[in-house]
Amino acid sequence: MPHTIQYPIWDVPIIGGGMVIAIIAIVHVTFAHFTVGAGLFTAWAEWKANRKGDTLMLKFLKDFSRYIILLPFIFGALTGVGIWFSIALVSPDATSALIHQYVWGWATEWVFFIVEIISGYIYYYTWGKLTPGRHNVIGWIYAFAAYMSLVIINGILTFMLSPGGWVVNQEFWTGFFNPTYWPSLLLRTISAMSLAGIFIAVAANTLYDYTREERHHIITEGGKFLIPLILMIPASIWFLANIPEASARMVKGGAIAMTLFFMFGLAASTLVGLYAYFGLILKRRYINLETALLLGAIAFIATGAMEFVREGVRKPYVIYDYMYSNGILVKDADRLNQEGVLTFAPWTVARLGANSPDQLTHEQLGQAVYAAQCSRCHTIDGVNGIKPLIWGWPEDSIKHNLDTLHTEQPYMPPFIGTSAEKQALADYLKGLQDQYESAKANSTRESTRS
Amino acid sequence: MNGLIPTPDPLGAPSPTIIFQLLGWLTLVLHFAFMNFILGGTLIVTIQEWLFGHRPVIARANSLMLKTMPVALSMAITMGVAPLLFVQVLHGQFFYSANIMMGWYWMAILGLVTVAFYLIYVLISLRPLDGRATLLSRLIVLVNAAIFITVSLIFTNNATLVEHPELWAKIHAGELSPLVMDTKFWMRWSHTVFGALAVAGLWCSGIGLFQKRYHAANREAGEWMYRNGLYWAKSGVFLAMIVGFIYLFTLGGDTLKNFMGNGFMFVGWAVSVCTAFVGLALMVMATIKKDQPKYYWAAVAVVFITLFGMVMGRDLLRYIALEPYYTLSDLTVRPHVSSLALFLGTFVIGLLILAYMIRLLWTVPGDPPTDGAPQETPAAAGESIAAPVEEAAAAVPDEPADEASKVSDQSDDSVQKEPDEGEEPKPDAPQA
Repeated sequence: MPHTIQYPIWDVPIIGGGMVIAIIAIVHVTFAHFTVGAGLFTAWAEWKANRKGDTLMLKFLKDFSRYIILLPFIFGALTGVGIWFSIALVSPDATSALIHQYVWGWATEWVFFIVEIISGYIYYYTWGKLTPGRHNVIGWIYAFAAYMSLVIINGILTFMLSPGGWVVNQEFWTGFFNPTYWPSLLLRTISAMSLAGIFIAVAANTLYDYTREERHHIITEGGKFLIPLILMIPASIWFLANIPEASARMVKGGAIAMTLFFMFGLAASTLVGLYAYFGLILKRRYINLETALLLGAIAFIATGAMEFVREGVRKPYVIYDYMYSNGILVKDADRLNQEGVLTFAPWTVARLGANSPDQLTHEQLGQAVYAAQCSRCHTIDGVNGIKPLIWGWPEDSIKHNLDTLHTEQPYMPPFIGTSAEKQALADYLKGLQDQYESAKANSTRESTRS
Repeated sequence: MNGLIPTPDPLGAPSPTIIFQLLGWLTLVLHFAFMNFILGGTLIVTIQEWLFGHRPVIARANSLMLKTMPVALSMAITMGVAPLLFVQVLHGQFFYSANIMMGWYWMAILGLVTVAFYLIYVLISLRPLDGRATLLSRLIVLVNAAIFITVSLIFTNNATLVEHPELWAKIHAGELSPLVMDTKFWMRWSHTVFGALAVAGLWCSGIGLFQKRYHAANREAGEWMYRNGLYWAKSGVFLAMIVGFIYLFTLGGDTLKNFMGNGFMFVGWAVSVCTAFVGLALMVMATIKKDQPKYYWAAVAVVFITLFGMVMGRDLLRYIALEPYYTLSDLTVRPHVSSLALFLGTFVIGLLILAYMIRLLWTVPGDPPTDGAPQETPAAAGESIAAPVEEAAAAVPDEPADEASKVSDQSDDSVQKEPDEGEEPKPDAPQA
């Protein structure tokens, strides 16, 4: 039996399940990257400060480590769990695939996670209680563990976009060290360092027992972690050169949203890097709290934009060439086209009070096909809403779009199912459109009247 | 109904299922050890704070409990990741479906725990070490207790839904609430909460022992915590046993027959029942012979074994409930040795790193001994990392540049200067 759309569906009106994942994931990625960069910074800066007798930096690092346990150790950890929770609700089949293929990878990351958390707390609570050398060793352990967790998770994340030969042999390492593994690791390392650099400027400005000169010194040191941003463009080109061809086409203009987000992300990152190099390092400028927060906001947007692109160009798949974004396995498509998608999507049928697709009315059939194939990415009239998307389309266009879904819109999976299911979906969508247009007309009439 | 149950993942499992079960049990016990402290400890502090918070010794004991909670909560979350992983490998299709049934209730856990985490820090900064906590502080403790109880209800509900796929269709159709809340549910949940009180009681005693031994200023509070923790632990074990047995007998004859028919896991559970009695006896002994903590440590070890067996019994009951739909043999095993080796190798390295860090912590000196212990008696990791935020912040040494430089050039074998040097000594701060 095909392993396809076997799960119940989590309905999230207005914002959609995908947006729930996106919100949690972007916050998590920002904090997780910050943790990695902050680990590298504190270990390096403490080592340097010990050698040079820089007591000011040591004092700052002590204060800064408090931010680490108060922000990423809480927000980062809980949003990390939050990603698991939310992806399991929205895409349980994809989550299941990631777990079953990479459980030992996840478990390995968990070991590093534990070492990271314990060493992070020890690092914070033993300032002044261990010798500087020993304390710095704890700092390096923390940095190592945090970075290694990135090294592991990067393999699994990039696997989803560019599994390469894994699709054929389904072997752990083939998927792990996939074509985008190394460029992505470089990109994430740059991102981690830069987020730490920016947050150091924010942190320095929020600590009130430092003079401006003292803050300036700290910000300049932190600014050095922003310099790698200059490598963002070549690293991105390297990354682009290794993603699947269809994904690259989307970035190059095939999907204008992807192109724009990619350009914004890249431009924002590079500009922050250039600002750091010329402003902070060469001219030794000072950054006040407002500017630091602005830089942080730009970095957050850039991180979000790049993550959006990474997720977006993977479409129409959730695991490239293996599983479509609606959870249907690529290998099952032919069978579902012959036997019907609803034959293997029992929950969408059961929810309408039927035991099999034969018991559904034509309208219910369309509704069930919509739930099975469209509802993971589209809401009815909220974020990525289907009603506004098809607004004004003639009936023939809706049908035509379903026929050519994947060829004319390469980020969409093909319609999968029998011709009767396709017709039912087209009619259901037309019904939604009629509702939408009559609602619009009503609201226009009312506003004219008032 | 069977047609609605998702099939096992076609990618299968990369190792025999018993490996995931064993690791799942072990990591779940570790998660429970911390989680129970958070849930039970918050309840204990709340009760003590509201009813007896005017007594200085209890006020101080509450402060000492609260200060250990941020690290404990972090550990509870971190330790929870591994069993979450293994559950998904073994019966993810049931776990995900139950999650989906609960939807936002399930997602609410994240927001609730985040709020509670920050509230613990707020409490630590608000609460004086001694003296009656302010009304605001007491209210926050109450809010946190409500949050952790809610989270425990959500988790118990999810675990219950996993075992009752027959409810899913009605819940999904909106005909039934996803919150089960039947008698069995309340029995199961009460068993969890009483168990949490027992484990938290043992933690309380342990913190008390530590404070008594290494921190002269907390000696009285430490003694009280030791005795009082044992009281909570005994009560918790006793009540958990009673509720646990009633819960077991409400499961029905067939389930019980199957339960007892499974050799290996049933034996594990049965041993844990025996060890629960032994643990209770050891706690009584520790209470009578309060100057002999060996009984306490023996009770801790025995309760750990009990938790392990109970987790096995819990697992067994779940698979019995799922038997009409699924058995572990339905999951294809496609062994992949090198990825398992990656994990095991990393696990060993991780343990070595942890051992190394604990050894380093052992070099941190504690207070002058108060009971004849050797002068170099080390502070244990738990205390060092449990120090309050403000205390740790206050302990930042303002080392002169040259001194820091000098020290860093020295051998790492020497312990750094007294960190409180040049500061006003804080009578309550863990001295370094």
